[in-house]
Amino acid sequence: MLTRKAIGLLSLGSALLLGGLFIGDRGAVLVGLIVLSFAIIGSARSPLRLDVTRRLGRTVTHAGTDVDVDLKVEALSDSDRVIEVQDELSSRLWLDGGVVNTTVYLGDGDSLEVGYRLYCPLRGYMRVGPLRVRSHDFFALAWSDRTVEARDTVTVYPALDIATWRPRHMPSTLPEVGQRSRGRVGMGTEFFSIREYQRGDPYRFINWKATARLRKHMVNEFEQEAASDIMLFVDMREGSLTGTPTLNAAERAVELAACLTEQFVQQRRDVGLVVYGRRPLVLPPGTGQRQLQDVLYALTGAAAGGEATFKEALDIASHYMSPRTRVMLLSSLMPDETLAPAVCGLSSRGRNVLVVHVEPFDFEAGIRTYRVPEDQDITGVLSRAYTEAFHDAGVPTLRWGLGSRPAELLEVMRVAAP
Amino acid sequence: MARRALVVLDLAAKTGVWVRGAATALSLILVVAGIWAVDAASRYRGHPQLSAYGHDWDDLSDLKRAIEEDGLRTSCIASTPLVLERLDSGMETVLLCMGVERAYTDREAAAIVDFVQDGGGTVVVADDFGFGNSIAKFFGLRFSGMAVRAYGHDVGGRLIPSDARTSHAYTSGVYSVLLNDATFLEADRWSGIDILAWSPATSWVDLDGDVEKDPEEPIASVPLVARVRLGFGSAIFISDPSVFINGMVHERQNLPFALALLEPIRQMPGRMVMFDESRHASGAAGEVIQRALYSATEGVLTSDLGVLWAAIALAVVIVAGAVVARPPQRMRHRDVLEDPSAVRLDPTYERFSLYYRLRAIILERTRIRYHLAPWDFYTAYISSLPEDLSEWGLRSYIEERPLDTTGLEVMERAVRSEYGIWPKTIEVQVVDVEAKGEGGAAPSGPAGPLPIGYDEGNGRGGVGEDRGMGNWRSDGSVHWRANGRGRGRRRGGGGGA
Repeated sequence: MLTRKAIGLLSLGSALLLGGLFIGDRGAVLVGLIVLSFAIIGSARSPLRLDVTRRLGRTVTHAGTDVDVDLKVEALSDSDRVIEVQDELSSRLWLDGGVVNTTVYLGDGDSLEVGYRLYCPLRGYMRVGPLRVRSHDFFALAWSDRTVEARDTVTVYPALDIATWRPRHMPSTLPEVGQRSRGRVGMGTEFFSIREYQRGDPYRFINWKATARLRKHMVNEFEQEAASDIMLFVDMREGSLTGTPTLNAAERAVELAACLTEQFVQQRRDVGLVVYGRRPLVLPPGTGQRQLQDVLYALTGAAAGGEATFKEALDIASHYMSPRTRVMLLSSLMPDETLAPAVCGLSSRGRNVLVVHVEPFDFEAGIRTYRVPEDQDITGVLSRAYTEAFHDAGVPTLRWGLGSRPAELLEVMRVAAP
Repeated sequence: MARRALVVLDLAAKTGVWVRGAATALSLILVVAGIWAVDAASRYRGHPQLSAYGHDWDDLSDLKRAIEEDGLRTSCIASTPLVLERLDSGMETVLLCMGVERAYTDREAAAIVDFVQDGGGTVVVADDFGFGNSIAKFFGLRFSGMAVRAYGHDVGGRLIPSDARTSHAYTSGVYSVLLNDATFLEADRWSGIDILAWSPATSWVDLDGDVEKDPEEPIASVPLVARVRLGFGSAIFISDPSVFINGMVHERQNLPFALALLEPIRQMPGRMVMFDESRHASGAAGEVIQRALYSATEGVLTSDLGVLWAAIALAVVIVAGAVVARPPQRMRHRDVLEDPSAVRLDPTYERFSLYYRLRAIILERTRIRYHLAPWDFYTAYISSLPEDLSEWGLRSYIEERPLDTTGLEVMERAVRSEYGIWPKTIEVQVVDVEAKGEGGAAPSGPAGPLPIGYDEGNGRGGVGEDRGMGNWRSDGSVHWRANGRGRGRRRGGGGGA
């Protein structure tokens, strides 16, 4: 591509040449020829061969961490060249240090080493590369862009922001979530039945009233309790994208889901995942580090968008849910005709449901100078309608405020636990 | 590592600056050198001939001096004969084109023809094997390009004596002139053309140029000097320019013959003789290139239409180039981490206008009231929605028709009465639900708007297909309910408020 400088020179040279020929001015002809020759020869270029080597400090990380990148570009051409190189990065990466583009003069065998640091604020598969090379001629009369296919990918899992929240004793019961009775005798806390004392039974379980009444040692039996399945529903519909890429309900719901999954896995509970937006993505309940990796993997690749409803997601996920599987919904409570009926229906059938209202981003909060009445805030009106509907159905709703960390919500859940 | 990288980057950046600076400096040097070279090439004329300002044997300085001594002013055309178009005293001017070493363009030739025909001037064209035909063809003549030889004057027969005459009214003398390596004149029609000089009867045409009389080469007397009258002026063609060079002009009566050709202006007050110096080849490099370009553009730059097309093509190229050419986009990494995305609901959040905010609330409440999905509502149902609304102001409001002040007031009243979304001014009617025996929370608290999804009428809480979402009361009253509903009420089967 010619620059305007080159076009100007070519035009000037042509005009001088034609004008000189026309009026018979030899000087004008010669000047025109010189200018034309300068513009044509100066803008001629030959392809430049480059060898690109990129080394990433890490290829798998969590959101909120840095990745160091070392880039080496070596010229293999015979001709020297002024080139401008830039490492093309995903637009969801933030350059934390160094530079990714520079202009250098590379001769044959010369090399350029560039080092920079990337900050990964978002989960996802982040592209690093290819290398974009812009060749200039010596006089900057023409330029051409091309890419050197040297691509790398950084897998960024959602952040596990629980470093500041490590309770010594994880509550055995999060509010209505994560624990259920197994319907059989075991070492629980709920009374189940009375039976005759057997050798080896702890003395503290002896039911003295029954012993006195029946005149033989009777002990209390307790219902066995165990960690139950938890199905996390993550609302990633298009409306949840409102905000900025780093601050929107979808990303925050993903981050919260990752943190909750880690916590539940540490408690040896089965955790499933349902992400619904364009098309529901269902990960059946499971436990262990393998399940945690699967959940993180699914959350990493989950794309927000679409208008799938909660009912659609629930219909698909119900095949993987036992009757006592707890449901935890992380949603910004954007308009969804099926949301309230479905949630209330779950609750009415005796299933424990917890709704976490992930507060959406409010563009106007930072710019408006007056306080908008709550009833004029359309999303506020809708979310309150849903919240009250859930409340009526006995479904607790926790509000996760904008800007708060997952650890804060977990602390609220721990305190709220009975 | 980072420190090393920064050092490398710093050096790289400095290298880039140095490269750009060196390129700019070199560009300036090249341009200056080019201009200097052009200037030098223009000044260098090698070994020109037939110049009125040269003093070599093959120049015309003696003729020029003789003319000046004869009382006539002399001048020259250095650039192009187009300057004749601005000459007012054509009848007082004689143009001497001695040796046409570069062809006249059509426009230049036209200027000379106009100088003769309309201006009444006289032009003398002396040429042999050059480009004299580029002007002679406009007068019905042509230089044959074949040499004429004559016996008896030198070994090879190059020198040709001839008796030339002038037929002007003031003089009818005959001059004995001597030509050297002359050609002869040809014409398709000789009518109207005065032949002023013939070659000797023993002369022959040297067809093969070997300066030897071959049997097939005819012996004939051919025209050497001719005059064509055109309009108010005349043109004289001489088939040998060397008649007037310093080495020949003093032979026989060459000089008197030359001065006799100037007789038509001798009595004129502003008499002037112009030497056309623009046709001489200097032998400089620039002229060689220019000649080559002339040959390449023959037919284009020698006609007005060709020049016009060339100018148009150049203009098109310049404009297209200016449009297409663009500076390269600056390379930099741009992240979208802080780019806002407003896909929440509708333009309400793009335009921070109370109007649109209010409209969105009305529409959304209406949509929920009628149990419609957003897509259905905003695409289909909204078109029929105004039929359900009585107030024209509200209808206009929803249809986004422009409203004047009165319309806005009507709309506001309609909104207040229908939907009650102005909590500051609306009257709130607190319903004592306990008095209805529904149980539940105490009906006390601050006045507020009607929450969506609640039905006071049926006395039941919760959301379902046939309860909850919708069922507004149509009497315009606004009801408030307190919080505190919970599982107990739900299980109790009531607890509306």
